[in-house]
Amino acid sequence: MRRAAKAAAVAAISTVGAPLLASGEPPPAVTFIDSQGGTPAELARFYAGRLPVVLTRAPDELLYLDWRLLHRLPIGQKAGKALFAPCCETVDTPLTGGSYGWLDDRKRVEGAPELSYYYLPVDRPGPDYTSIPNCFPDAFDSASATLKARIARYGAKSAAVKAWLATQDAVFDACANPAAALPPLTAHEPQWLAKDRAYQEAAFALYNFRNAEAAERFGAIARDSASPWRGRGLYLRARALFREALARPGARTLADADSAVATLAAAPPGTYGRDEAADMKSALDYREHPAALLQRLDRELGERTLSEYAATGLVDYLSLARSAEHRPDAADWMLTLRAEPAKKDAALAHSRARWSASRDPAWLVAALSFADPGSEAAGALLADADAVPRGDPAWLTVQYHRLRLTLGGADADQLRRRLDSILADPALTAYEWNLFSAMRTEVAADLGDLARHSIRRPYCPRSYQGCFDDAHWVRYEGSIARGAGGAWFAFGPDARAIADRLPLDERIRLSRDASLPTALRLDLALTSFARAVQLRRDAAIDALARELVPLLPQLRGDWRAILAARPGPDKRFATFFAMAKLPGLRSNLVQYQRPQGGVSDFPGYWVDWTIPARPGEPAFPREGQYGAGNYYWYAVAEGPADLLCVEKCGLGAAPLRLPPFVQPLQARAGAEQGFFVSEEAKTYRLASQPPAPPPSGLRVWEELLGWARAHPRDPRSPQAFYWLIHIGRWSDTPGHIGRRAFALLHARYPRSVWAERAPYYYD
Amino acid sequence: MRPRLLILAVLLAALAGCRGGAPAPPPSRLILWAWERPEDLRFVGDRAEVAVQTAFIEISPGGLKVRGRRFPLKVARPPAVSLVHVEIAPGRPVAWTPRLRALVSAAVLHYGQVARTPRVQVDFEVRESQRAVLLDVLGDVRRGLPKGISLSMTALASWCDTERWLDSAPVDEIVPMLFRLQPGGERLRNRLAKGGDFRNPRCRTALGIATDSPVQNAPAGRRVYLFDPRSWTEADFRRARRDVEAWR
Repeated sequence: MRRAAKAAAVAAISTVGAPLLASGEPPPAVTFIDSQGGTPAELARFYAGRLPVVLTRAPDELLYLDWRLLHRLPIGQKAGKALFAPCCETVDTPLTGGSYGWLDDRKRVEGAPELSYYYLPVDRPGPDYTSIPNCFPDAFDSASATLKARIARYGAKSAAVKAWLATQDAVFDACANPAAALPPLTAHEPQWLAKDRAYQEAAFALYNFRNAEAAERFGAIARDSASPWRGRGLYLRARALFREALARPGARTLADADSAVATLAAAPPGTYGRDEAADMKSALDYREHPAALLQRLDRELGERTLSEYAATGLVDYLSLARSAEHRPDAADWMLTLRAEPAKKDAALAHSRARWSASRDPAWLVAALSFADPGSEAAGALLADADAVPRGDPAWLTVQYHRLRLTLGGADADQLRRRLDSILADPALTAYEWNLFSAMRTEVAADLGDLARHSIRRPYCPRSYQGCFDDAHWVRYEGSIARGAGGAWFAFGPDARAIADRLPLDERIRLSRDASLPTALRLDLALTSFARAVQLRRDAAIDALARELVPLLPQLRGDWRAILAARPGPDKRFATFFAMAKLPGLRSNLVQYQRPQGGVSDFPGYWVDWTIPARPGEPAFPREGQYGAGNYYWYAVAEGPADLLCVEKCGLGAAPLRLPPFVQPLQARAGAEQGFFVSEEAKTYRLASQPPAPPPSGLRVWEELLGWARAHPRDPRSPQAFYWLIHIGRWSDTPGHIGRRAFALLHARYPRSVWAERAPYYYD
Repeated sequence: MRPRLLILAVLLAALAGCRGGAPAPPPSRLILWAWERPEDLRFVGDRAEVAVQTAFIEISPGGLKVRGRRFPLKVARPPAVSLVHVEIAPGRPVAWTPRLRALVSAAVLHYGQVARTPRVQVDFEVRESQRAVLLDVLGDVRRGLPKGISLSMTALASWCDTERWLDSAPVDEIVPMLFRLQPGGERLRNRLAKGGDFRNPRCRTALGIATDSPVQNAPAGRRVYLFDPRSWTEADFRRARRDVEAWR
């Protein structure tokens, strides 16, 4: 029996020696308000015509699509996807293609010279430390395909093929190297090689920015009926002249480029590169006729049918509009919504003026997004908001702002009814559901109501699609959990802030609410347990220990030991012994880390827990801390923070509103918060402030050490020393506690598994 | 190393971080990270060096993305550091083949030298399972760099404080970053604020901070790399400089 117990203990601690946190960038945090359009299914519904709540921090493409839907202009799946597709820059080049594939394919030529590099740079150094993209993957793919064809026809040992490769190597050397040189022509070269060489020389001139020469050479190829490259000549000539016009804009170069692009555009369908003529034309117009181009783009973007090629036009449109004397309405709306905080008042005034003049609901949305609760603007705009009919595409966005502006003052019953009616709509996206649930949480009628509305549906961050499939990420993200139906959920930031502003008794009752998922009940129960310990509330400690038996069964024995212990030092030891195994324990949900996996896997860093004799100054975590998430601690501003939409819905303020039933509890909650002084000297202090001095009171780890030292026969004592060694290393606990625990462990229990597993201390 | 010797080494390392009674350290040297966005740092003059990001490299299961700097950097003096940012796309694991390694290392070497700076910095944050990838790249780059060019690397603060694997990194400078920290980072910041230091002595010559995450105190006299989440302004620089100059 004893041997079995020892084996179990070894298994339990086998990985404790490893760092508690793996290396790596802090995992990207989940988001509840996805300004990137939401899930693929939500985007599909958006493209089909359902306008979600307008997020002013959405990318330009989505904001423009919002504008279209606000004006009942359709999008369509194909055009929507094309517009919001990742740009070329984010597409990987597979290792079998582009320059990487070429480096492999060129080795097919027998005796191909070894290159001195593994990587073939494709851009030229430009001014001001830039790199100018010069050679693109399709050039390498084309070269690979040509080489394979020439080998198939003339053989891998052919001298002519080797000469072809030597020239092509020089051509690609010119991608980045201004000193690249073509090899001399071979004597008696076959006609195919001469034709290929002419094409290679033209490309070489292009990559060396000798654009006029390149255009001349490609023009000659276009006229050469014997050249296999004739079909490309027209396009490449236009491309070379276009490049020259951009590099050296002038009447002559621009006219040449205009002419060449027009010729390409007029070529028969199927002509190589003809599809690119429109983009090249726009780029030339951008420089030659910006005002006319802006008007044309406004007209095209406002057409009922959205082109699948609108992406480039939209970029030019916004770029031109920024400096235009008179902005077209759509661009004006988008750029106004993007206003910096310092220009909020001006943006609000402009939006109101445009709304007043046009009665276009898009401008009402803009004006509302800048309005603060209680402001004159809010008062003036609310009546207009009420007049927006339910069938208007702007209706849902208007409802959000209308509710945001009245959340603190209107009748709570009425707000609940209105929000419940919106939340009953099955068509809501997850982020809309999160948004309205957050407001519903802030007007919760009681604890049960609060519990029902505090849960949110998280999105993977756009930088990490598929995140929920990564167990490592899920564990370290720490706040999400999977429900019985397989869906993921988490507390919303507003709900966490409200839960932390509840007094202990109410918080315990909330943790018992069966409508909450188990993982979230655990979060509440554990943080409440930390509170009960600091408040010296033995009855609450027992109640929570009982509750934690099923919620955190990994520590089942510890919870039962707490329940069985006599009040006084024995109970404190049992309590502190459990706390020693919970590095992520905190009194508030800020900085708390949920224990997951085996005891040795529990994440987090210990706090130098102190139970104060007298309360300190009450200080709740700042609101911004909840919006920032646990993993990033930017300098979070003091004062109110937008926990509803985390500033993605506009610059209008959305301060945290406590539910009516929570407001009378604040005096008690604040008084209790004054006892929670030890969490890393209040990590939620401003980062620029000096750390708080260590509080005075009962020092938890010292008491644990003292008790274990005084009870050498208690089987928990060596384990307590073991954990204290870790606490000494992974916390700011002073007094060399790890070293002292190490000395006691190895002096008294040298052959124990705990001594075996703790061969060092770190002081 | 025997346990007692190790403990002694740890103690000595800790003592090395104490500065009680020592003469005041020289002023910190500032280096502004010029991230990939338009930057006009001519206002800096000779008050700080500039580290220019010259390339972005992303390794993914689908391939390799490499691109040079697209946005201009204007400076009064040439940059002193070329930074190449490398990352591994999250999600599916990447097969770290000799070919991929050769490509990545060669790309880092190429872009590390285009600006002809005396120091090359590799900014490559990896997970535990990807440490070998980082060390491979650093080793290859070290071997490929001409003599006289220093090699620097950025590091998560935890690498410098609670882990030892960086000991094998063949670099001249390790820059622990005191921003975007993992949970527990506050603990380290508090320790630095009280005059403590990174546990790994190799991490005691430089550090990195961000303008949106000010550090109340950190060891003075080091090379301090400054990150601004937006394009630099003179006001941001002055503020960051003032903060760093207040370190004791």
